[in-house]
Amino acid sequence: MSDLVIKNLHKSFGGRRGVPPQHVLRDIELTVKQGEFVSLIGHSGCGKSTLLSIVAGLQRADAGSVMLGGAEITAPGPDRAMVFQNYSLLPRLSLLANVREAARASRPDRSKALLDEAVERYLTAVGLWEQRNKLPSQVSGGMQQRTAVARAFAVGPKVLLLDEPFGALDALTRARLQEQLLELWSTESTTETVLMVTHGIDEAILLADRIVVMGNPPGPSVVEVIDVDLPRPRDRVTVIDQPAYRGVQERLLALLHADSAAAA
Amino acid sequence: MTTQSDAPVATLPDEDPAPQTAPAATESGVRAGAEGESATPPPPRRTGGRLRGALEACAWSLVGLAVLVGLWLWAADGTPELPTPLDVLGNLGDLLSDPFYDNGPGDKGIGLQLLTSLQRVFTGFALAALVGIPLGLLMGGNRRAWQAANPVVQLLRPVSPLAWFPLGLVVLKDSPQAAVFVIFVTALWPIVLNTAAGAASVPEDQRNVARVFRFGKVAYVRHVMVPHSLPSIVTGLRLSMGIAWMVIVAVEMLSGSTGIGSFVWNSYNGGDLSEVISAIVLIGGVGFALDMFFLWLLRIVGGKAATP
Repeated sequence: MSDLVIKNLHKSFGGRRGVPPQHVLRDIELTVKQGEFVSLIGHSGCGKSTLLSIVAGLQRADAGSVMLGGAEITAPGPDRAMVFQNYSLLPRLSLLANVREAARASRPDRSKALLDEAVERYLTAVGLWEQRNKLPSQVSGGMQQRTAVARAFAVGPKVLLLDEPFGALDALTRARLQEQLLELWSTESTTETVLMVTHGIDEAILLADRIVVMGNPPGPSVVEVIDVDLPRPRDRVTVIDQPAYRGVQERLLALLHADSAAAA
Repeated sequence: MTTQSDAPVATLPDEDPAPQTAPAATESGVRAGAEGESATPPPPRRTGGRLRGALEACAWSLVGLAVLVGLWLWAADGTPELPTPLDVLGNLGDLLSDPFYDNGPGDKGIGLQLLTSLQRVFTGFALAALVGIPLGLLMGGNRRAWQAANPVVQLLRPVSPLAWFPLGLVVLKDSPQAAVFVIFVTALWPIVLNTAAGAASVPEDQRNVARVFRFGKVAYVRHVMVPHSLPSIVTGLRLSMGIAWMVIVAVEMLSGSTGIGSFVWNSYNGGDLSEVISAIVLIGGVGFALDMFFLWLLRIVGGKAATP
């Protein structure tokens, strides 16, 4: 089993020259089961992006461990791929080259033919194969982020890490990308586990199996983990009429409101 | 040589074009601009305004030239040795009527002299680029390389390149080659420093992309570092070429025999100041053309040159 197991994780920043350290992550215990879609939600500064970054292997924790399929995560690896907040495509590579080079660099063990096939499949799946030779600056923000999604899937990771992937997009584009993401996750790909940082309550409920509510210091990092008991596939129009949706939404609002009141 | 104190010019290309909040039409592949263009023709005043702007710019540059010529006439009035603009125009006509004649080592046309100097500059410049760009990338990408190389660069950079001429003469035992060596040293520092500044300024998110997708060194340099540094590199090349073209004249005045610098010196020794000024005009023209080329190159790679 390739569960993602986070144990006793601590991370703090600063703490030099009289500035008290910021205990960003405080004793995080979290297990994401294989095949689960988990959302991290919380106010700015609660450390959700830091947590994602540690799982990605971009940062090291001060204490505790992150294990994926029994192996400790200490560096980036092809078993995890990330979609960044601000698209983060390489500006002078075409959309195709952005996806292809990332896949090749990440998967030196796989043949070029196999990788190229995956690159074409995912670019086609996000509807950008026709636009593949354009530069990122020549397409819209939504297209850039779809390219970033294709890039992450083309690596064939076990775990997909999403850092507020749709935050900068307008509502219509965001809705379409959410659906594309779910479709890729559930059908096309071998990627089974998703960990997504988000600001959006509705986005979290629509997408996730479980929602991890994170809080600001000095309280605990993980305030509560909420199960989203809604059957899939979820339709964004009808899902809000289900009683479970309202329940989760109210609970999230209450928790987030309490946290912002405590911080103020 | 005061221009050599140019610190690395930070040319940050627009890395993150502002997130385009494209309308849904653009999303689905429909060109938003296409219908807009046909529906509303561009306002006719705009092209007229651009033409007027260009004419105005031309007029102002003529004003500048007129001021220069006026000052010159005024100075020539008080100094009988100084040739007038008309003298120089006549001389320029003579020089350019047969620019490529070759009557042996001491007597060549102005075109040949310029070509000789250009060839030396290009050789030294190319060698400097060959050494400077990789060195700059290394310095910009690796903290230890920066710490090792930066003191050396900072120590040698303020030295007038002409001070290297004796060394070049002793080692190379050939004054044209020593001139090329001086140009190499001249051109090296701006290339190294600007390349390093570019390579060191790769944005965090691009570095994170490279780390998450485990780019190797080669892929990182090729797809992240070099593309990001290109405008800085070209800026360094442009500065280098500007200084090298100034320095070659001085070096050739020292080294003698051939090249535009020695032409100036020989004209002075022959008492022909018209020829000296003609040479100055031509040197300026060639330098201007070289700079235009690098400005064009800079625009191609997406950099911006500072103009008011």
